[in-house]
Amino acid sequence: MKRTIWITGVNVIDDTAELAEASQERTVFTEEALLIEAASLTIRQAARSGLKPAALAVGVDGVVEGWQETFFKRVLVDGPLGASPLEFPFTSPNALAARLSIRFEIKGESLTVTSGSLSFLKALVHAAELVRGGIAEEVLVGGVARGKVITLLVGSGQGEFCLEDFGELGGAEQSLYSIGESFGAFTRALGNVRSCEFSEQPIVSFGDSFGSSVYFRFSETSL
Amino acid sequence: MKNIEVVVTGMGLITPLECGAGTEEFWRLLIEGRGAVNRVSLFDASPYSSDLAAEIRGVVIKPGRSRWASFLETALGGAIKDSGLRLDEIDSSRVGMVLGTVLGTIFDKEAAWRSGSAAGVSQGGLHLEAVNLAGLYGIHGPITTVSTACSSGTDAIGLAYRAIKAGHVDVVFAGGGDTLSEMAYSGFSSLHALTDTVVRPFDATRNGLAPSEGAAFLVLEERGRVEERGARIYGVIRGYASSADAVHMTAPDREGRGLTRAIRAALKEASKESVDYISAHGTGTPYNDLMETKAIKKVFGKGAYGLPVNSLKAALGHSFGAAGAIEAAACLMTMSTGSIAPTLNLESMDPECDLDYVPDIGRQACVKSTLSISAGFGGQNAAILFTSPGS
Repeated sequence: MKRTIWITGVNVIDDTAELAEASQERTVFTEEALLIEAASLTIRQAARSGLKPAALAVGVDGVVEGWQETFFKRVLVDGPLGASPLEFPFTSPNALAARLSIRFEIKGESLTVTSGSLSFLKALVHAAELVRGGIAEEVLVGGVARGKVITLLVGSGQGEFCLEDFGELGGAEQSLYSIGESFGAFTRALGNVRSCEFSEQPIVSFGDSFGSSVYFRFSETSL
Repeated sequence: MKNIEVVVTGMGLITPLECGAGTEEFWRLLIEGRGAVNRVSLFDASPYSSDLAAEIRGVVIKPGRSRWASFLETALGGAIKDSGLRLDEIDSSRVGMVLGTVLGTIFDKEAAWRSGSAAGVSQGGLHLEAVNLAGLYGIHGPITTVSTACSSGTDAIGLAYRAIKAGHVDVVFAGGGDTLSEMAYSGFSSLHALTDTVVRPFDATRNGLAPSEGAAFLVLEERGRVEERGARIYGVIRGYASSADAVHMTAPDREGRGLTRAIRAALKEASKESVDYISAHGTGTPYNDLMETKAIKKVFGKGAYGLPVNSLKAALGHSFGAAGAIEAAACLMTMSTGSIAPTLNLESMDPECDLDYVPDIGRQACVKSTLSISAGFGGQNAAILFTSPGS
C-alpha cells in the first residue's frame, strides 16, 4: 500500500541578531546556531503531534567553503597552532548534520547533500524516499545557506501538507541560482497550495543552471 | 521496493598503490602486500606531528582541471570502459551519477589561498565536478553529490543502489574521490590522529592514520538489462544501511553502537545472518579499530572469530571520501579472485582486537558474500553487502 507522506513544521531563520539574544546553544559558527534554532522549532512543533525525527537529510551549499578558507588561512599564518581542533570538523560538509544528530539524538540515517542550489530540495526528496521506503518514519530535513537556514519534518504520521508526488527530472518551471533562493521558492510553493482554488494541485518544479531538476506536488491537509 | 536486483558491472579506480594503472594492477600489488605510505611531497609537512601520507605520484593533471577532477575522470573512465557499456546506445535520461566526497577541490583551493589568488577557488565546487563529468560522458539522469565524511564513498554506492532498486534509473555511476590536502593534514595533526611511524590497523601499538588520496567508481545496473547484453557481473548488492552515532563531532561511539545498527540493517535487508569476509574501515587509530571490532562481535557473536576481517588502510592510507568506494571495489575483487588482501603491519595483537584480521599475508578463500563498512567524522556509519553473481 502506498504510504502517505506529510510535511510539517517549516521554519526559515535568517535573523542572526535576534537569534544571538534567544539562543543558549554553544556553537562555533552562525549557520550552525541558526540551524539548531530552526530545528528546535520544527521538533517542538512536530512533538505536539507526537512526532520525533529518526533520520536526517541536510542540504548545504556555499557555507563550508568559507569555513575551510578561514581555517586554512589561519594555518598559513600560525602554522600547526593555527589548526583549531574545534573548527576542523566544520571543514567537512556533514558537520551540520552531525551537530543536529548529536543535539537532538537522531541516530538513524544521516545524509548531507552538496548538490549546489538544489541541495536542500534534493535532501527533501531523499527524506521522502526514506519515508516511502519504510526506512524512517520521520525525517528532519534542513537546508543551509550563508546566513539563512530552513528546517521541516517529513513523515508518515500527519502534518500540514501532504506530499502527493515527488522526484527528480521532468523539466523545471523555476530556475534557482542559489540554495538560499530555494528556501523562498519552496515556502512560496507551500503558500500557493493554501491559496489554490483547484481541487487537483499542480506540480511545482525547480531546476538548477546545469539541467538538474526536482518536482513536488503538494496538497493541504485539514489539520 | 520493487524486486529489482542491482549488480556491479564495472570498476575503475586510482590509488597511491598503482597510480592509475588499472584495477588488476591495484589488486596484484595489494595481494602482494605492497604499501604506498611514504613521506609527503605535495606540501611541507615538517611543522606537523608526522610527515607520512600516501600520495598518487606521477599523475598527469590536464590543463584547467583540478587534481581531484583528474582522479575522478580516471576512475569513472576506467569503470565505464570496464563495464562495456555503450552510453550512446542507452536512454541517457535513465543514467545517473552519485558522487561522494569530503573536500573535493581543496588541493587546488589551497594553492590559490597560498598564492593569494582567487583563481581556482570556485564556490559550490563539489557539485560542479560531478556535473562536468556527467557532461563529459553524456549522463542526463539525476546527478547527486553527497558528503558524509569518510563514509561518503560507501553512501554514494548505497544511494545509487536504492535509486535503481526503486526503479528511478537503470544505470548509475557511483563512487567517491578526495585528494590529499594540508588542511586535512593540519586538522588531523591537531587531533593527534596522525601516525608518525606506520599505519597498524588493529595492532596493540597502533597510533594513528596516514592521510591519502584517490578515487573509485562502480557501474551499477539493473540485472535484467545486464543479462540481455551479456555483460560480466562482479557482484550483486543485497543490502545497504547507514546510521548516526549522535555522540561526538570527531570521535566514534566507543562501543560501536551506531555501526552495529548500520551492519544489522544491511544484513536484514539482504536477509542474511552472516558473510564470508568483512572489509573494515580500519584506520589504525585506537578508537576506530576497537569500536569496529566491538560492532562486529555484537552483530556476529561467536561467529565473528571465524570471519576474515581486513583493513586496506595500512597499504593505501586513508583517502576519506574515496575510501569506501575503493574498499567496495576490493570486496568485489575478493569475490572474483578468491583472494583476501592482508592487513599490513599487524605485529602485536591488541587483547581487545582479537578477530582474524588476515595479518601481513593474503590468503585464498571461497568468498561469496562480503560486507564493506565505513565510519566517519560526525558519527557517520555505513554498511553495504555484496554477494557473488551466482549466489
